[in-house]
Amino acid sequence: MKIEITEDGKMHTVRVPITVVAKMIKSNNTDPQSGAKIAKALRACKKKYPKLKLVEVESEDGEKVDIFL
Amino acid sequence: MEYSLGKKIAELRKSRGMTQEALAEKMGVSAQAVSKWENDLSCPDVMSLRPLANLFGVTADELLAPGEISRAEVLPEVERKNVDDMMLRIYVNDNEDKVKLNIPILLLKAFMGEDGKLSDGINMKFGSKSLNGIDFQSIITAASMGTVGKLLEMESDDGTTVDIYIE
Repeated sequence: MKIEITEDGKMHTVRVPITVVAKMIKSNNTDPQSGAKIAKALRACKKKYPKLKLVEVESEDGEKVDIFL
Repeated sequence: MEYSLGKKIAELRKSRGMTQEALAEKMGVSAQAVSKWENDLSCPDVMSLRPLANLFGVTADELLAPGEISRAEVLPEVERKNVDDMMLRIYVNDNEDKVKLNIPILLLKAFMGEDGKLSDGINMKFGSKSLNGIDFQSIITAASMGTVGKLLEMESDDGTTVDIYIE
């Protein structure tokens, strides 16, 4: 996954491997089965929509956050 | 929000899973002509408006009116996409932030617990607005039955708006 934060005209990019995200979801989820299900779906979606913009936030103060799959 | 004719054509086409080429073929024009319509570089001729509206299941008036076409519809079986290829789009607009979510139905299905509610640990909260109360299971069911378009439009007392579309 890629997170792009634009603040004061500067863009900061953070890349998080989908496997790490999947592990975090598994460990944070109270139900391990549903955690595994989400991790599997995330991987499938990554294959299907490699550059999908999952979340786009635009603040009134001009800050922008984009989260790509 | 002002919606141009081109933007409406593009959205209606995409919501039906059609390519520009497929629409061009149905309308008897070139794919370049469709591209020009969608980019507001040209307009369909008057004689094409009604067939175009009929193709999308809307009226010519709805195509030409400046506002958005805000209704959901159930597509005939031959035009439906596989539910796992569909996308849920959520727009949240409060006084400070504009949030746009593009959630594949495939992913949304994985978020659901056996009780038909979002799994524990999934918290869709933006500013003061929580989306966890939304019946996502019904949305998935609606999508699997071929529903596309704007499903939900909410406005809170504090002015926050939430719009939900299936595409």
